[in-house]
Amino acid sequence: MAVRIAKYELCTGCGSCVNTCPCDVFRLDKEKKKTKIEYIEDCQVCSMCTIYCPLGVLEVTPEKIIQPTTAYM
Amino acid sequence: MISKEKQTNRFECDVLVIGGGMAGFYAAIRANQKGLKVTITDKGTVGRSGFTPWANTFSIFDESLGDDPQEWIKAVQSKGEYLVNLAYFNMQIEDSLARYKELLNWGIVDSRPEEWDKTSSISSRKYLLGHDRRILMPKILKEADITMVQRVMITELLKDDKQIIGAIGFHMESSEIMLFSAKAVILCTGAGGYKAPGYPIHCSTFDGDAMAYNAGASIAGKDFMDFHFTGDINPWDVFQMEEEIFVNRIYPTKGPELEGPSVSIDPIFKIHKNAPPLNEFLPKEPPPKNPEDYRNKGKSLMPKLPKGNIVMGAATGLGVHKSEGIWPVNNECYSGIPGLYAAGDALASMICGAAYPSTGMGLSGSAVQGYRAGEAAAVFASQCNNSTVSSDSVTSASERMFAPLKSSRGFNPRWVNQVLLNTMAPYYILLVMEKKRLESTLNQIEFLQQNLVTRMKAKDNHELRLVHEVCNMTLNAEMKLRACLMRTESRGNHYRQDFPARNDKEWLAWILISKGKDSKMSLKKEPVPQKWQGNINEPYEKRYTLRFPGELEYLENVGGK
Repeated sequence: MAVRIAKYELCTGCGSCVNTCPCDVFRLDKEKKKTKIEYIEDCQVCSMCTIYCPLGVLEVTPEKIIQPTTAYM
Repeated sequence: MISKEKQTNRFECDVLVIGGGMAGFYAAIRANQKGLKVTITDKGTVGRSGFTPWANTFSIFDESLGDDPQEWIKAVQSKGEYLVNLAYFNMQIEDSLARYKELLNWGIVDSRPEEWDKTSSISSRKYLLGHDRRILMPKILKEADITMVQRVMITELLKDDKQIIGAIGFHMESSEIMLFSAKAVILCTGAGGYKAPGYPIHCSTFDGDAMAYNAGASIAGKDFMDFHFTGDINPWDVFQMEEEIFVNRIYPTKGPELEGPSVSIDPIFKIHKNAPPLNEFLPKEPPPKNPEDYRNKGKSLMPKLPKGNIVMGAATGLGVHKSEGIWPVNNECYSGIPGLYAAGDALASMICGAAYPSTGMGLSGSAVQGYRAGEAAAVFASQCNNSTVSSDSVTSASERMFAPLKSSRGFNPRWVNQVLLNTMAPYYILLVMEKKRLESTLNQIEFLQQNLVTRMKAKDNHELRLVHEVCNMTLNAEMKLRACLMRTESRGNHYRQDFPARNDKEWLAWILISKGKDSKMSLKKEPVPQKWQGNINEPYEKRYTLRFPGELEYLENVGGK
């Protein structure tokens, strides 16, 4: 389960995702002036980054969801 | 000398607010209105990382709508099982409507569900983001000339021989030292919890409780546990909510609800005892195989993610909102350590007592207490002189802060975190409790503290933050286990299998935890004032209507009814 960069070419490096993510998943690639997914393992799939990205660069992908183990079934 | 290698950014202010959720927002606003120089700092970003994404109801006391203060007090006392601090609860009655009206004026809340259906999705988006608390709150602070210093992990409060004089932390990206000197500090750092391993949702990490404890304050409410449901496919989606609620909505509610039970751990007993009804907490259907089927129908701002089923057990060992945290020694959100204040879920205001009584108390409690704490800290700060943080204390604090980055070998904080969660999260530790299990868990936590927590290594700032969070969570685990062992009764969201009934004679009391001599944890009882104990002559089964498993049989045997 994770976020991915769907439209890299649209990213202007505004940093909205860096500031929005509660789990500190993003960093800015200062040279390329684009976002970078630095700590994908900490993505909690909350989708906040996709809501606040003004250009629709990011996507949270259902295809990657792994169903977590629940205690009682 | 690390402090000489890294750049130090200095911030001077009268009042420093740590944490940028609802309590922090109001604390900063109020201290600023009192004419003081205010700085607010946040581990993430102000207005975004502060209050949980799920905080969307705001309880209001409104006499013009027929709310009766005595009814409210009676309801909350009964639901909080007579551990409610009525001095703080009265602040809800006095202030919640005023705070709500301010939020309305700022456009942070509104009461418009109908329009939603009439607009196109593009204008909906525009509308929602235009009313978005995460965008509006920092804007309002900025306009008030309040300094915001964001993405800073604060690791320690700084003290001189008399009072708190600031705080130190590091910037998440630049790794520079962030040094704040202030005449008063307000902790608005929220609460914490333990999430089941396997769920990727990050923990709220009790940072404020740990910092205040280390600075000498007392901590209370660790003996009561809340828990959360979650989605079995998308664990983020705790309440399977509509998207627009997540983005923006804050709905006014009444509270404490006068009918119906409080939030209780009853479903956990049911599972434990294999007793009906269980169905409402179990997956109703298997998850769809085709990802396309996950997609939500209709217009939505949210990415098309699965809904799944609501299941138990995502988070255990959460504090009861407003009933866990820094113990106030007066009615002004004051910790007893000169210059240190707290508000919101970082303050053990005990307005909910032993169990959460209704929706909306969390958020409106934070607004009300943030405002009061801002005012009290401003009064204190305006009577203080500036004090300087000595360079020695900066050096030693920054050495402690960065030590995990310097280690060449050490335990991985992610692994230590998983071990901690594995130890604390199972329901039979904190939700269905028993002396021997608590003791053996405490034994493991002490091992963690002595052998793993002190030897964690971080490869970068991202991991350094986790190292400090794991330290804070482990310290809090010790507090919880000790407090739960000490409370030899069951009450509200505290269920002991070996003491399955309330014991009014011994336990109309809160448990205060502080750092004792030799840095050992020290616990003591703080009796609930008699005037807040309700009618103790009322028959037991009338006074307490929620039943614990085995309760009545136990009472028959010990003759305590």
